[in-house]
Amino acid sequence: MLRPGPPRSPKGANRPELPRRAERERQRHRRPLRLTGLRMRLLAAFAAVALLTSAAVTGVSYVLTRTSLMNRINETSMQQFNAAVNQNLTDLLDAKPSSSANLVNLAGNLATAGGNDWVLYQDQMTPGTTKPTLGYDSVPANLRAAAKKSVAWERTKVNGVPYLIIGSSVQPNGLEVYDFVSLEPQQEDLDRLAQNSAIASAVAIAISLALGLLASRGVLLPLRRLGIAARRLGAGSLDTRVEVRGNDEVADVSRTFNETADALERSIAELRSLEASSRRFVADVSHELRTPLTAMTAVTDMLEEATDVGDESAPAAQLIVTETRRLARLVEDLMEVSRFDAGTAELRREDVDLVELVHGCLDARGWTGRVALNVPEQLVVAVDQRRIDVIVANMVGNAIKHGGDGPVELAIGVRPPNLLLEVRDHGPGIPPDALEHIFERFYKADKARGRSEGSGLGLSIAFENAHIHGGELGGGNHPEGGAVFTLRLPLQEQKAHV
Amino acid sequence: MPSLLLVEDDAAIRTALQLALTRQGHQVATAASGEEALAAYKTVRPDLIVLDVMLPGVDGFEVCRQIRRTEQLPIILLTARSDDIDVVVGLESGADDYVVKPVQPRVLDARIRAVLRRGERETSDVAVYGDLTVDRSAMTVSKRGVPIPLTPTELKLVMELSRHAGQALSRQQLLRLVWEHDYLGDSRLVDACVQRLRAKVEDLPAEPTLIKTVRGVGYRLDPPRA
Repeated sequence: MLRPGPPRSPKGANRPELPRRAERERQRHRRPLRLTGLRMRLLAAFAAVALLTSAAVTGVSYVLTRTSLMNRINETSMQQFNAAVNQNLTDLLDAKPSSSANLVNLAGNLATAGGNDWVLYQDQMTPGTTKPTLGYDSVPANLRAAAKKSVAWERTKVNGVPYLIIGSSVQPNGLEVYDFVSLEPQQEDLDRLAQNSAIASAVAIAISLALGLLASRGVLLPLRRLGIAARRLGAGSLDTRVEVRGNDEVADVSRTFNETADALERSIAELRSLEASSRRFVADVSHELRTPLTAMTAVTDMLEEATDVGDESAPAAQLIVTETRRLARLVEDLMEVSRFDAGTAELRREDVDLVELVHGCLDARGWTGRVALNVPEQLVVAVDQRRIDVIVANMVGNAIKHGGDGPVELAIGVRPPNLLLEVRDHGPGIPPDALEHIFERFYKADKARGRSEGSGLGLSIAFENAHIHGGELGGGNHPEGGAVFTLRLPLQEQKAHV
Repeated sequence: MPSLLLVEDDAAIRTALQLALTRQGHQVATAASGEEALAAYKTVRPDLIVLDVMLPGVDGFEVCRQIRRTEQLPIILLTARSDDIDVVVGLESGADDYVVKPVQPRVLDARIRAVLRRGERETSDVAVYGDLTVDRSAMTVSKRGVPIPLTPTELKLVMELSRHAGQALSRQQLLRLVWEHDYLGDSRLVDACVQRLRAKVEDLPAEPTLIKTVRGVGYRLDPPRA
């Protein structure tokens, strides 16, 4: 009836785990760029789109420009060719195989008439040319074949220079006339166009990357904030909320986060108030129980004397006496536990000789002969002597109860910055599955035993008493058998209060 | 037979304690409230008052303070340990000792007897400390010839300090000698009693010249000056 909710495990048992995990989280979070991260993926997508777009645009415009440029030059060159040939047609028709110098002159005339460089060729005659680097060899074979039939043209490179070569043959003497139109200026234009396009593409990619960064920030920053907020919420700051901006998907998630946090905060608050009221209830009940118990306790001694009468009511009276004392102890312990829960337990430090305190504690309970002491002459510490007495009485009481017939050993030692008080028995020790529960309220290692003399709160109160001193109470098994309980009290705290 | 006045508002506790204390050989009168107690102690003239702190109306502290204005009779408080502040306030109001509920009648009886013993005379001499004269045989303390009214506990404290004049006594020692608490005595009893004693015997209670505090040890009464 009086159990204050589920048994709580002692505080601080797994507390050191938390900061380490948080640290790990933070480190993982701090890592700047993850290759598979959203940011990298977004940037890659933006860059790819920019690259593809600019490649397509510049490629198409290059091809179109080139085609129209070439068509235009073809047209004009063809007209020039025809004009030049027509102008010199008589001379061309007159050209004789004998006069080889004639072809050079003719080529010169054609160049004068139509510009460009010209190559003339006729069988058994030295070819005429206006440029030494150009000759009949420079004319591709299929153009030669085509030129013999009609006017033909071909674009090709001669010694690395691009040329439009227009060729034809004058009939009937079979003189072949080739007009070499240099495409170098056009090529330069096209090259410049390609170069500019490349620069434009590079700029476009840079801009798209910058845009990508901005866009990813727009998405990732709220995500980051959400992540931080979620972590803070998980760490226990239940009032954590995120700012909701705009009306996009991220804002939706933020809103959902806030609603979830609200709900969580509400449930936790409800749980806490339930817990607080159940604790208050325990405190109130204990308080109320104390008044009748005080009256009952006051007459137990008289009742005990009455058990001497010898009739059958004697055991009944004895039962009432024992159980009243047990109940009184339980109520006292419950009130002490309530004080710890409510945080109203007060620590009253004063300088006491710990060794004397231990002697007094054992004497007061008739345990002096049962405990082998290994203690210094004197050890003055600033502690709350009532609380230390409770701890020592619990440690020794447990050892005597569970230690069988073997000796109980109590040792006090100073191991800066701590003071250690150790109580060891030579009994069967603590069952392994009970080890982590021994400081829980109402925990009984041996369920079959059911009821013991204590309230079931003794060790948990002792634990809290050690805690309030800034110390620690631990229990375990000695490698050579038997249970060992160790009280650790920091010496540092002592000095501050001397 | 010592005569006691038991002040307790709860009828069951009152009856039970009256039964138990009577059984222990005391003559017990009872009062159920603070007002009743203030009226009763003048007619009953008890040797000692056992006073519950939590009383409706005029509470235990107030009863204690009002009685202390004129009387030096010993007062033992009944308190709850959870109300640690009760102890402090109670001792400041002039109580001689306190017991925590639920109390074992044997413990209460022992305390009562210890308090009552403090008034018993001892055969000894007279010592003079400055203006202060401690007559251990007459059990009186006077200052410049004027008797100072002291409670039995205060008197016993002066006696013990003067018996060990010039020697510092620790709080635990004083608890054993004066209060007869053998283990886990509350040192606040000593501090509160010293405060009250200083208020009565020192010229400037804040700057004591007779009952000195010995830091980290306890208290000391300086030896008589020539």
